[in-house]
Amino acid sequence: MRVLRSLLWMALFFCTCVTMANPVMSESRAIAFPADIVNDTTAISTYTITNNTPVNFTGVTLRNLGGATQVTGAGLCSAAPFALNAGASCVLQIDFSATATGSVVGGPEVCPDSTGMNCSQPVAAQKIDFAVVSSPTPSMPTLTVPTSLVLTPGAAVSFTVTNSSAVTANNVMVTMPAALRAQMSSVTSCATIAPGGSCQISLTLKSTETSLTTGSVTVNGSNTQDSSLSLSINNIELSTSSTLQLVPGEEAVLPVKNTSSLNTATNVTIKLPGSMANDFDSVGSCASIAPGATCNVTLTPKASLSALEFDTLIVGGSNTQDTSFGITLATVSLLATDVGFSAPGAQTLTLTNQSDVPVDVTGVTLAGTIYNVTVGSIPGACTDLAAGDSCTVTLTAATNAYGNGTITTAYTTGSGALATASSLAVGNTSVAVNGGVDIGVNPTDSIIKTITNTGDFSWQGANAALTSLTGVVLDATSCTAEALAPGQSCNITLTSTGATAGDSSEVTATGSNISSTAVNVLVNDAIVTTLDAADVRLQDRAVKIDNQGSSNKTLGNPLVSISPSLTGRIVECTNGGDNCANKESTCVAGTTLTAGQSCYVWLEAKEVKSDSLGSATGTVTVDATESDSTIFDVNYGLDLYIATVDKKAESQYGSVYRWDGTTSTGIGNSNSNTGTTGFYTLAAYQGDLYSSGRFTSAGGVSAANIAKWNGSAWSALGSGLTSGSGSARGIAVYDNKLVVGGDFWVAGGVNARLVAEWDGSSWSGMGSGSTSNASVYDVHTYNGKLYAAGSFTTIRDVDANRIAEWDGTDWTALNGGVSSSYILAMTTYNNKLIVGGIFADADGMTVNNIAAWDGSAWSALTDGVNNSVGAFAELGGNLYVGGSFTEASGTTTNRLAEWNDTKWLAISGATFNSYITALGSYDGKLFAGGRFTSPGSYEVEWDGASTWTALSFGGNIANQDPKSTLVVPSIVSIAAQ
Amino acid sequence: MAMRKILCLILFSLCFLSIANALPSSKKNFPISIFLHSIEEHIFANIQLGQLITESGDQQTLSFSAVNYNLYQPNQKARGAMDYSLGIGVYQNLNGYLRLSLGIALAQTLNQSVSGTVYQYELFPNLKYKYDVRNTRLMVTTRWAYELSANWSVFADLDLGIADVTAHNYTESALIEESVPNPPFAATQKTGFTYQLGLGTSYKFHDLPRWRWNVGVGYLRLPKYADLGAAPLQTTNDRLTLGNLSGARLWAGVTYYFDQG
Repeated sequence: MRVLRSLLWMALFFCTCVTMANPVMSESRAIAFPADIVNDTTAISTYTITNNTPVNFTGVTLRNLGGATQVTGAGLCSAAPFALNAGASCVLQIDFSATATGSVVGGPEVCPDSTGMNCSQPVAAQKIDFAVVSSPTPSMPTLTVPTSLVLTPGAAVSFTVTNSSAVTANNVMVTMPAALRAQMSSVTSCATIAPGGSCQISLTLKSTETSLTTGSVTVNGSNTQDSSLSLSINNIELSTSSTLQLVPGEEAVLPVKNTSSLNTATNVTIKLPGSMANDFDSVGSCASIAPGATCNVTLTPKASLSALEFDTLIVGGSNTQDTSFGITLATVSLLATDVGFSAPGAQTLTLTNQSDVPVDVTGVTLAGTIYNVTVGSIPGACTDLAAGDSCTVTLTAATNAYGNGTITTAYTTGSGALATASSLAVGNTSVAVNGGVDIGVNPTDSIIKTITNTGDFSWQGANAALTSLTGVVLDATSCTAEALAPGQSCNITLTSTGATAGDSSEVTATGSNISSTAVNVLVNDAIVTTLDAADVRLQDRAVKIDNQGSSNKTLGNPLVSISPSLTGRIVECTNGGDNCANKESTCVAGTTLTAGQSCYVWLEAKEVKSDSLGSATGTVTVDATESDSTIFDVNYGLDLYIATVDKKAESQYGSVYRWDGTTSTGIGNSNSNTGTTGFYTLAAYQGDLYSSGRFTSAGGVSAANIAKWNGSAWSALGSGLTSGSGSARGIAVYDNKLVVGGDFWVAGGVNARLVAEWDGSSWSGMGSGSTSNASVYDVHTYNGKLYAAGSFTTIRDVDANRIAEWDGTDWTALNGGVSSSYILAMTTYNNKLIVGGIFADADGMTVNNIAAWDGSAWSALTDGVNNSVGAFAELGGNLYVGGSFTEASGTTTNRLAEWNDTKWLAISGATFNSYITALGSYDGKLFAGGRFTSPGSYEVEWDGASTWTALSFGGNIANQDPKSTLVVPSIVSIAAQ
Repeated sequence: MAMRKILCLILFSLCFLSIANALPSSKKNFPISIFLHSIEEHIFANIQLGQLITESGDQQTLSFSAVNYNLYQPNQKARGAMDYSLGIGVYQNLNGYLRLSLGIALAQTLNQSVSGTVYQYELFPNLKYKYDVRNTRLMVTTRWAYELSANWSVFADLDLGIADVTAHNYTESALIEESVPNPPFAATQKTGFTYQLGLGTSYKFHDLPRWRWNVGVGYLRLPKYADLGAAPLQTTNDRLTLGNLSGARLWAGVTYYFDQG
């Protein structure tokens, strides 16, 4: 038996793991003893008893029956102890015969056997629980009435009386004190109310009554129990505003006044229709309103409320009459404008209050893919913004702003948080790729192109990509910056590693805020555009276009484009300008350049004689073909070249220096030439620098008294200038030829006494005569003629006192010329030829060392100067004269004076203590060189006002006399991009 | 009954010691007299407080009649209760390191509460049960102590005696209102042989040379299978058995040596 039990237990407990609390035997009561049993009567109760165990009980016992006895019979449990098999049930009936009054509680308990172990009992609610009473309780109908009733003076108020008993109620009425009855004008009653039936009783309070003498009455019938009914009077009227404006989400206040002078209104609130109950977050109330007082009843519509179902509501209290009032729903709307940026800077977000009520703007936030746009502070005008008014908030886009997004403007009408949205967009920037792209088939070819951010915003995520093109590699490393500022550029390099001619593709510039910009890439036969020499500081440059391919090419048209910044400074030599002799471009725009053919584009840096054209930077674009252009970055400047001679003609040597405004540079070791006395002159001719003087070599190259500097080396001009002393003191360019004058008789082996001309390749004499005397000290062009001046009185068989005019064929004297003894220098000023030197008269007229020739007659410059004149320069429209003089027309001038075409002027700070041998105007300044040590030593610079500055020539020419100067416009640097 | 046994044991021990001490000097050559000849200078007393941890017993099904049985499921496998011991005795230093102590001790484990669930007919967890178990012991104690240093020593204990174990206060409470708590099992008392084996260590502060502070762990063997009596009308002899009362005893205490140890 135990084994079986254990197995069963294990099956139920361990295997199923389900153990539920359950009585051993359950007792379910079917019939309960009545709560009250009248003494001397009998009552019964039945329970269904079920054996919940797996065991068959053979002797179920009963206990704690509370005095009742088991009844047996058909369908009932057998007399205890009785058998009850596992899972079986039987009905236990117990009878109670009341013999004495008292209470009985508990049981019945059923036990499996007589041990008293594992007994069960009913649940508490079904246990035996009754009382034995002596007699039955009489039955009286019970009436159901409302607990309270509000009476309105002058109006009949009814209530319902219900008979909830099984007995008919008779003569049902309201029983009240006489005083209260006297306040009533009528009171109805019900003669009978059937069991379960209802009846209406009406009370009418006299209209003159304002209060009740009694607050409670009784409702009863002649055979019923009493029911209580409390009365109150509703004679209070409320007043309030006629219309209440509601703002969604905002609490509205309704002032309610108790117009009664006698009674306090209680529980006053707004009585919402049921269908509108969900339209409001809260409804306030006033617990009491004293007579004549006012109380605010609040009403808070939901923020989502968009329409009102009714336009009137009712306010009332528990003892008041209802009062209606109108309601309106305010419109709440804030219009925000869209904002777009087409350029960095500020834009305005305009906010317009389209509401019926004022709003407060509380904040503006940006969302979306938007960068570097900031929101300014909310101005005070956006607070309490009246209906219909507008205010603005400033949004600022930085240069690196980009993207699109939304603007969320938060606002409130008072308590609720609202928001409106508008769009925000930052415009794209734009990029440009310079020109089309051709790339040569040469495996080593590469081409660099520039992509420039031409827009106003930073180019975000700058990059470039090459659509698949066999044999071509793109290097866009420099264009992969996170952002490229406006105006900035980056380079891409396309390199051929074996491209096939005729193939094409495109390079696309990409980024976060640009529209993709693509340019074609064409694999073409090679056409190479190169510069003749890099960074040569002379006047002219040649760009060679070489068709190295196998097919003909059409040159671009226009072929050369010069950026505006270089206009007037750089020109293409196509029209035979003075310095373009023999160097006109051979490349013609739009013409064909056959395979293997090359041509040149010549560029000239325009000659200047003053600082009217300063330095500049720009580009020169050479379109070799329509699809292959080369851009040269040009840095255009002005250099001051200075020619010097040995001061004492002893062991030192003259040199040529270049002064770029900051540093001085010796040209080609010109001061290391054996047997060289020095350089007297400077001239720019056909893009080269020429200097003549008294030397036998220049830069280590043998050259007889004249040499050419091509920017990198000195060279001789044939056999140079020989015979006589050989020295050449003057130089000029005339009729596209270089003219020199001096103390030589032979030039390049031909008779060229005192003057000769060089056409770039050979020498020739000037004039047919063979007789000349003395020397020429200067040559100069004036009014299309060449003038030679010096100490001669005869030149090429023509008698001329110290100066003569050359018209290209013959020499002519200038009237009487000047008296003894020298003309040392000439210049042009105000369309006159100005000559200076050591002489007293010009054509018999006293001029004192300086005179002017207007093409037909001589004139004096007032009283002239008291000593020799050796140098001229023009600056700011005035003529500056230097030499050994200390007075000019009686004005102390200390070797430098200013002539303004009317009178002589002293110059502030010009304290020269020895003679001036060279002057030059350069970059708005006046350069002076000589043997002076004040206001500086040997080389000084004047700013045109009062400041004299000693120049840093490093002592290079401390023992040399600056003899002449030349301002040379130079392409300081030029290089392909 | 148990208390009477304990009192007899105490009286027996005291008589034994008195007789031994009263022996004439010639008789003190007996080993016991040798040990006790200087008893006045080698008395100690000690007190121990600790915890006795024993098993709660396994689940058990009891039959009350042929058709009436329940499963009793303890709530936990082991239970603990406070245990204390008061002892007195004599000791002898056998050499510089080894000390032998002999004494008697009265020990008691306070009520251990055993509780669990009654599964009526092994199916219905309708009742909870609870009862208490306590034991009282009178032990003859021996201790072998070995001095590790001037302060530290380790020791081994062997105690023998009798124990009185009482199980009582059985109650049930209903977990559902339909179940009627069963009549309680009867309380029982059992007296029997008991012993204890233990190990421990003691420490002596320089400033308190008469005091040795001890901690120890031991194994206490109590009379086996203590149980409750049968229910009042039970027709079988099934009893709710506590199980093996033996268990671990953890304790800490102090010994006072009247001769400064």
